[in-house]
Amino acid sequence: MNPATVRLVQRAVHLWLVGYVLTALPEAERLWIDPVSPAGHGAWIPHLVAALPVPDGWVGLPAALLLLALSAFGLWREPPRWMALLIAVLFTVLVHRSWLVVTGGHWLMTNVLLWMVALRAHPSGRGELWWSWLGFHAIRLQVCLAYGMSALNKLAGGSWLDGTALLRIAGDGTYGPTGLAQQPLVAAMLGFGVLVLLLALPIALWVPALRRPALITALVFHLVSGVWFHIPDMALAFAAVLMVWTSSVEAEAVARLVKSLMIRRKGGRLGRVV
Amino acid sequence: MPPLRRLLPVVLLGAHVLLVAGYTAPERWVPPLWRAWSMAVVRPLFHQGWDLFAPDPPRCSCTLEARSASGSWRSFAAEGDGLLARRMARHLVAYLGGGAVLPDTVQVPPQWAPAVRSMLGDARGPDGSASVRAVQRCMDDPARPLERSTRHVTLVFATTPAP
Repeated sequence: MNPATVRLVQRAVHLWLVGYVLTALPEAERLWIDPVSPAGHGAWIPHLVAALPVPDGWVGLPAALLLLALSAFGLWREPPRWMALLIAVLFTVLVHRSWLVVTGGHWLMTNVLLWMVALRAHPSGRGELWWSWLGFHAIRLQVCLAYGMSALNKLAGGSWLDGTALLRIAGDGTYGPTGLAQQPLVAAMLGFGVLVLLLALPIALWVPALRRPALITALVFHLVSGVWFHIPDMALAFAAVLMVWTSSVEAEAVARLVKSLMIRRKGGRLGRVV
Repeated sequence: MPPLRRLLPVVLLGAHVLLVAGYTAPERWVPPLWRAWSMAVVRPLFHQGWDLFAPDPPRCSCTLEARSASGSWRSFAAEGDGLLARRMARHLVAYLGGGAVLPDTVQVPPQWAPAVRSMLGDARGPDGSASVRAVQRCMDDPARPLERSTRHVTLVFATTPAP
């Protein structure tokens, strides 16, 4: 656990949250204000918020705008614990209000945001260090659990083992390109590849020599599947949370890259003005 | 730091991982008592699911259509609709069981009726009623996933939809 990695994952998650709110705003009416999704049961945070003496309307758009503002702040500075908790609560409430449109990436984020309350880039004192260690490793384990459980659930069926799973998906017009449907052998190999990847990632991420290739493979896998299955938000959620597996050197390199891109963009804009 | 305090986060994380695993693993592979504890602890605060296209991708692709005032059928999620609107329609039909072969007529469960009605938008008639159908393209034989036949399934509401 190092400050650069912690800050990188915090920024990546907050950037994802900013994108989440901005892309969902045009559908705010059906998602949050007058939600299409039936009311869910059993989740504590939405029930606690519902018990507050606040009009139901405040839980919709105002909560989304507040989440946007707090996440934007998180890009700039590390949010204090109370703010991190508020971000987690607001996001969880919004997700439960619109659960009909959410993906595994959103559920991943609800969990990660809760653990991020404990996470500090510069923990001071033993107590903070203890909590920060817990949050950091919980997020790392959460990523591994997601891959491992996804593989196990696929192994429980037959089509991922007989190589027809991706053919089935390609033959379903509601998901991405259907070109793969004409290439059964390629589809079978890719299907087995997905299974092997999902099984290997939770192990490879712990092995120092394999961590970087595993990280790059996972990022490519998420970006490709996100585009193909029309779930870019899920892909980017995983990409953001995967940053928890970067080393301090990698995290600092990413931060420098982002900074230089921003400076170049700013310089370009100023140049145009002059 | 005392050894107990050093060990505590490891124990906490281990228990958390075991409970989440019991919650998200295939149900038939998890002992009932473990599953029950997982449901009790994970569901309220750490809900998640990792079963996209698992255990198998759905046997049928399915879309919902509503008859407009002009008599033509219009998809709930047309190409011009946004990503989230299309996903909402896709998930809605999945929860109605559209991934498996449906009978010729399906009654929309009461808990889902408001969602279907609000997705209808302007496709309702002046009295608030609407004709809704599911269009399924189902594999005849799972071993040949590309050979699919089209089925039209009529959806009926338990009561007349409210305006």
